[in-house]
Amino acid sequence: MATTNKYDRQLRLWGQNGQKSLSESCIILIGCSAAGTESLKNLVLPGIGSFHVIDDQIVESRTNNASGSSNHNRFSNFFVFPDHDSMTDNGENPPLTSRAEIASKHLSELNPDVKGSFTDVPSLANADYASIFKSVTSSSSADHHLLVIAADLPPCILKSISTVCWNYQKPIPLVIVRSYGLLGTVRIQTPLHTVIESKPDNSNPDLRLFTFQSSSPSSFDTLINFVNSIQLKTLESHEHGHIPYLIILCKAIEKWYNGDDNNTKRTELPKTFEEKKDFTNLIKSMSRNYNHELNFQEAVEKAFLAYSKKEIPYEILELLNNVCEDSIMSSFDLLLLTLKRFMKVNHDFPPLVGTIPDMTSSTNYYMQLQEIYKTKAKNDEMQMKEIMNGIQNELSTKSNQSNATAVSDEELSIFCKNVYNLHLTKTRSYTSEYDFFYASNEQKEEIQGDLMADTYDPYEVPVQTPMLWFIALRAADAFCDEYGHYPGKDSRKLALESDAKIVQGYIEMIVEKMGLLDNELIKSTLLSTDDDLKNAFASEITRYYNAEVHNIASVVGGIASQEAVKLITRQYEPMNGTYVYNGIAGVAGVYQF
Amino acid sequence: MSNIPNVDVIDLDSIDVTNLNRQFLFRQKDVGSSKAEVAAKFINERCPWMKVTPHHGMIQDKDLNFYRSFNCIISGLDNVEARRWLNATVCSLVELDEDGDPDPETIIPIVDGGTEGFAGQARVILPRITSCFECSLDSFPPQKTFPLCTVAETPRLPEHCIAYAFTIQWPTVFPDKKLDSDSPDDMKWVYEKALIRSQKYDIEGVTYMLTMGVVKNIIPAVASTNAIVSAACVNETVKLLTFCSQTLNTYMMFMGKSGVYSHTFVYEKKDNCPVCSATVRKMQVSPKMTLNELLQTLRDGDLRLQAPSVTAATSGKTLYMQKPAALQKITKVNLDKKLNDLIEDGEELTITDPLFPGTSLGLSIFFEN
Repeated sequence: MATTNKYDRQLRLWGQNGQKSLSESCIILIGCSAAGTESLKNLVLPGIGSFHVIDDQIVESRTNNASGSSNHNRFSNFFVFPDHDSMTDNGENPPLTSRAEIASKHLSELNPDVKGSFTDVPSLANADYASIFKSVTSSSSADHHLLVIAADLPPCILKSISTVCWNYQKPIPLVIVRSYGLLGTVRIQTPLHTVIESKPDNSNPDLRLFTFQSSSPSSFDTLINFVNSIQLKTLESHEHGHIPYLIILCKAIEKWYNGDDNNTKRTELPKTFEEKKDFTNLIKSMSRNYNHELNFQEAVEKAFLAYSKKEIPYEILELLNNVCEDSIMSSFDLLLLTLKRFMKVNHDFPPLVGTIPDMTSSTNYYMQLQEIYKTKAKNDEMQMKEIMNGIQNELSTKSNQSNATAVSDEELSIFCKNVYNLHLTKTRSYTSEYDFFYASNEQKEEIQGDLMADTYDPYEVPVQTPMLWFIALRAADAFCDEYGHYPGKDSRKLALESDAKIVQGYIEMIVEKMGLLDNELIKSTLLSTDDDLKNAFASEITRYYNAEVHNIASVVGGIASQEAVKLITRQYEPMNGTYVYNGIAGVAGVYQF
Repeated sequence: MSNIPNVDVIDLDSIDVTNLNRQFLFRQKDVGSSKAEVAAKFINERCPWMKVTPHHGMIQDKDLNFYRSFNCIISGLDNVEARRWLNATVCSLVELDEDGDPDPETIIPIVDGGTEGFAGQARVILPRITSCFECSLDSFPPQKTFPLCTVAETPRLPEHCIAYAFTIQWPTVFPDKKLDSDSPDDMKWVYEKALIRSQKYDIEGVTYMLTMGVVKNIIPAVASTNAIVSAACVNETVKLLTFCSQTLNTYMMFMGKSGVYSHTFVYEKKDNCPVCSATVRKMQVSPKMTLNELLQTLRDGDLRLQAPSVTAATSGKTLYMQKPAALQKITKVNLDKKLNDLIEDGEELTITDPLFPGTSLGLSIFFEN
């Protein structure tokens, strides 16, 4: 094979930095259900540093039936099953029975780079999670980033885990995953998660073409000089067809303002539809043979780059507004303050990103342009560094601030290139969501408003809309809170019907708490009294009795692990809310509840 | 894990170390062995109720009777051509009854999944009932390569330098040797040549990793996305086999780069799908068009055929046959003949192609005035 690096295919997504973050992480899995072990499997394979499994159950050892033939006892978790191995080594070692130990053993086996460990607790309901987390982290020498996955746990246990993670000295990101019959959910909890490299799919390059006018206070001098040094009319045809569109657009802007060649003199860049059309026609008129000059066609296609301005995301602008010398708690804060001061002395412009997209061009012109953008970006970065050093000096003279806010050159460089991609995720705690606790009336209105809006966009088959099934699951949880077990325990027909009626009662209560009692979609589905729909959701949930269906567990385990990777690598944008997978119809959605 | 014991698995590949970050049935010690065989062995041992039968080879090596013997087919193929072949094969198994309706006993569902980085999709194909893979061919445009003039004359990116090294320099220096992208020596050669070229043009960024990515057209792959898609596929399969619930109708997309976005929709059947609809296509051509030019159009146009053979439907006259060799020799003389010397205006041609085993396409040719 051409490479010996088994992580090659994933390095192409998150690079060496992402891989390093993974290798310095420790994942704690509470609950060894299939959804839990599947989540962890997808984290062990890409090379996390270590994991720790916590559970309170045992696995019965395999029994041979009387005739001696081994009855192939089926199990529903690929990583948790009666211990074969000890039974084949002459019975010297007793078979493992701890579910946590068995899961840990089979998960570690997936990747020799990962260290696995486990804790058996007498009961997950009473476990002292804070102490367990502390002992797990203190036993490892490196600076481990923690993340907790809680799998298929009843709400009372989830709430205590949620609280511990939320209030931990450095809040621990929590991923809550569950599979229940043909349904599954994933919920992320993190009070604050900052991302610098969100790597959005479609993002326009930072070309600053709109500054191409001498009256602008923030002229990109080197670009202006370079563009002015080129006289389009004097170029012979091959060269004319290989002028990069970047330069063509600059020349077009110039013409737009000067009103050359019978065009009206303009005072502002194109805004209206008509003006944009005119601008496009102006570009076309500059070409000598439009059908053969790819570069002019590209210029027309990218004309909007001439008059659009990249904006920093709104939530980040708010942060910038609020950050000040007294509130520096992290390296992210320090970078934000540095950016704020930079923008103040640079006419509100952040550092230039410095890369340009590929475009039809001669090598020579392209390389020169690339150099111009790279150099300016480098200069901006140096200025940022000076400003940052200044702030750090201020801070250290003010108090004996520790180096919790140290920022390496590489980190600064990455920040400068990603100013437009900065992203912030803040979720509510699971506990406050479950208990319908809102910080303010405003918050309550916003969340209920969003849920209402979601009901106006149901799935093609309305009864399969994932949101409805989430409400049904919440009703099952409410049942469990009350009775200590999930509905459907007694599988006789009358018992199932009776449980379903109770679940339906909880559905109505939850719908009311969500402010959706009068909602059309809810009334025609969850609350419908039509023969075929009456109590239908409640009955289906009751039929499941929290059954573990491996495929569903694998789907949500996959989603959970994907989000965990984003949280650990601090790259890409994590989801905010609950992912609900409806495996009945193969439909999913994300909601804020 | 759903207690479906009889599974056959076909794969022509051997295990590579770069598979280990996600293909969890394989370990370091298995590198170099057959994927199908190692996968079957692992499952049969871990789950003793399972009887997985491996087939190390190409899907095209199996005949119709083989595919006919299954209740459901799951496809995790990694290229469009293989999917088209499988799709056409399974669709050709469907028999129509006297009323022209598909006989349900002969419909074998195909559940197809694919991933790319953080994105993926799972779909259910019920041959002749729902859209088939060919109906969606347009959403898989042919791979874009770099324009030759850019690579040869105006390189700007490190990728252009790499493309130059392996598409232009290699065939010049090694005219008789095909580049083996799995050979470290071959790849090192390409990397070094690309580096030299990049230095000549002052282009930065040529690395060994990028070289491999460009030459092998590497698609990033991770454990989580593959787990999601494969599980979604199996979920549909289990429901289809057990009738315990409903079926995905028909296509589910996952996008996990920003947040998590899922979208489920019906991929509509294409009216003139060459595989699952019976329509005879119409094509207007210049009377001067040669048979060879027609074949070119069938390859490079919308139909994207591989190696078409042509027969005149009514007269049964063979115009051009790619195989067997003897027939190809006899009919190749027709390639340069003008179509209007070979067939009548409006005549229907029957086209066969290795991509569509067991089926043929009807194409009526009309001459422009």
